[in-house]
Amino acid sequence: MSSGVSVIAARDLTKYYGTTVGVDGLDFSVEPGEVFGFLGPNGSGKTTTIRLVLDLLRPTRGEVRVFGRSPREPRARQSVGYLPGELALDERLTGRAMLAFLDALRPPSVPPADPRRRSALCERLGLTETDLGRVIREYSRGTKQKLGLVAAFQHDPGLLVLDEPTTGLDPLVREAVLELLTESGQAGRTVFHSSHVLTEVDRTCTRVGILRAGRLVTVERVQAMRQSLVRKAVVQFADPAPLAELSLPGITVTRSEPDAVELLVAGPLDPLLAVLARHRVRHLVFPEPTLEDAFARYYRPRSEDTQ
Amino acid sequence: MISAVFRRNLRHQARLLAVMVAAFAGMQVLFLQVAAALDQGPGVESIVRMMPPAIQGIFGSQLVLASFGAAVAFGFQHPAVVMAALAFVVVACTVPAGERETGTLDLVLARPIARHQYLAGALAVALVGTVVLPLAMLVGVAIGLRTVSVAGEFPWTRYAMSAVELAALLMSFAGITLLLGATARRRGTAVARTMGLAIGLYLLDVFGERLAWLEWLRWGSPFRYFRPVRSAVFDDTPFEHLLLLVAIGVVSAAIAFVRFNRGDTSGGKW
Repeated sequence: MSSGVSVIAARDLTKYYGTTVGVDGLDFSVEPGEVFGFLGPNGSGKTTTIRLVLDLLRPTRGEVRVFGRSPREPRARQSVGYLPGELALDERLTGRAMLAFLDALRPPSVPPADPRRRSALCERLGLTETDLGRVIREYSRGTKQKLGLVAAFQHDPGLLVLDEPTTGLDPLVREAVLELLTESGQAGRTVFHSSHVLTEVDRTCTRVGILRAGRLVTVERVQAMRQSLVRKAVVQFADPAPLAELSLPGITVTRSEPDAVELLVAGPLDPLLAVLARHRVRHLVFPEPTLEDAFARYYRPRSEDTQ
Repeated sequence: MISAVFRRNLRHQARLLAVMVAAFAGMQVLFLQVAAALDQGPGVESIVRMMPPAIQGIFGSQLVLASFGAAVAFGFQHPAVVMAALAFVVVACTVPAGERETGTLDLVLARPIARHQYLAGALAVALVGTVVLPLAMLVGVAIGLRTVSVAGEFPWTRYAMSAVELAALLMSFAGITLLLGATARRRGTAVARTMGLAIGLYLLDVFGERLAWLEWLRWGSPFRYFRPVRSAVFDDTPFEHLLLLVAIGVVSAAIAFVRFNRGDTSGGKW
């Protein structure tokens, strides 16, 4: 891993499935120590990109390099930990045998995973010795996901490629995973975190790439993303809603009832909070923003692009 | 890395292989008992002559070889034995297609293992079957010969070439299965294609031997070059046939490796 080389570098990366676009003309790089978020709704090309990065798919055009090498070279994947979005494990193996099998798929020059690290990971994710001794076909979806995470992290990789890592996890384990991601970034590991959950990316990543219909619409720092976020807010007042006061730049009332409003707030929340402070508020809810809400400017239908 | 894939795959197939080894060896012992009983009775040839013409047709030219020695060697050529052994090879060689179908292949090939190493691990298990199954039959022959008394000299080594021929046939189908299975997205498709092809080629050989208009097509069937009874009875194994069977396997496997190395290996949704 030489310094100055991007951990992932994609140039005009394109994949077509027949005539259907998987991804088209992706240009981006992920630098060492970066936690890079890859955001996009289902079907936008996140998984295709990951599969191209790992040489599971071959590009129709363009190229991608991992640690400065073509991913076709096994050496490029030597220090990569991968969790697929649709995790499929060898269901006839026990959890312990599966971890050992995946760990054994490395050149002799690479040391095996540290058993203490593996145990610590299992403990953090709530995977018990009993779980590890059972065959995988008996696992619940969440337990499989935990095993997949341990498999990805067990050999302390320099690059973690995680496709929707918190899928199927309960809130406590989800929290542990997000902590692991943050710690990995702090420890200088590079993380490529694909997700459609905005809050997770917001919390863990330093930079995000946003995909739409196979194209990278923007790559920006999370700080900048936060400023451009559009949040939804639902407010119920004790008195009639002060609609006139809410007519402020950056605030759009999308629905109103006599004592309640639904709003879209672009940019800082201060102006809205200042209005609310002058009134008696019964309920204030900021629903989990969806990608479509937050990045309306990127995800509006294509027909509107031309208008 | 090949060894990790090999060990894992062998572990999955171990029970099936163990059952088949026992069944193949046991069947040969049983075959010998029956052959010995017939040899002391009216003779194999007279029994075959009593069968309907259609059944006699299946034996074809082998009829002239009807004797104790030939009956023992026929175990290596019995359609049930050959198809069962082929089934093991097909199961072992379609593991990549199965892993592609389930998605496990993504997890495996994301590790620092070259695609050819992964495929070699799968092929190696099939090759274990191609060696172990004929060997088990040979062991069955050796055990069986100790338990029967027949007139004449019948050392077990006389059947070694029959076992080698079966191994060569299995090897040819290992390559063919790998070729058909390397790029298949579903294991069921790969299995159906290979078993269908095997049965088709077997029937081509059987009927090609009898139907003049089909005879010229027989050269395309690996079964044409597989004559373990003749090997055992006349001590005459055409080595060019053995080489041809091995060559079919090697060339097919080589093409399979090239194809597997070229395209997409991820068969899931995108």
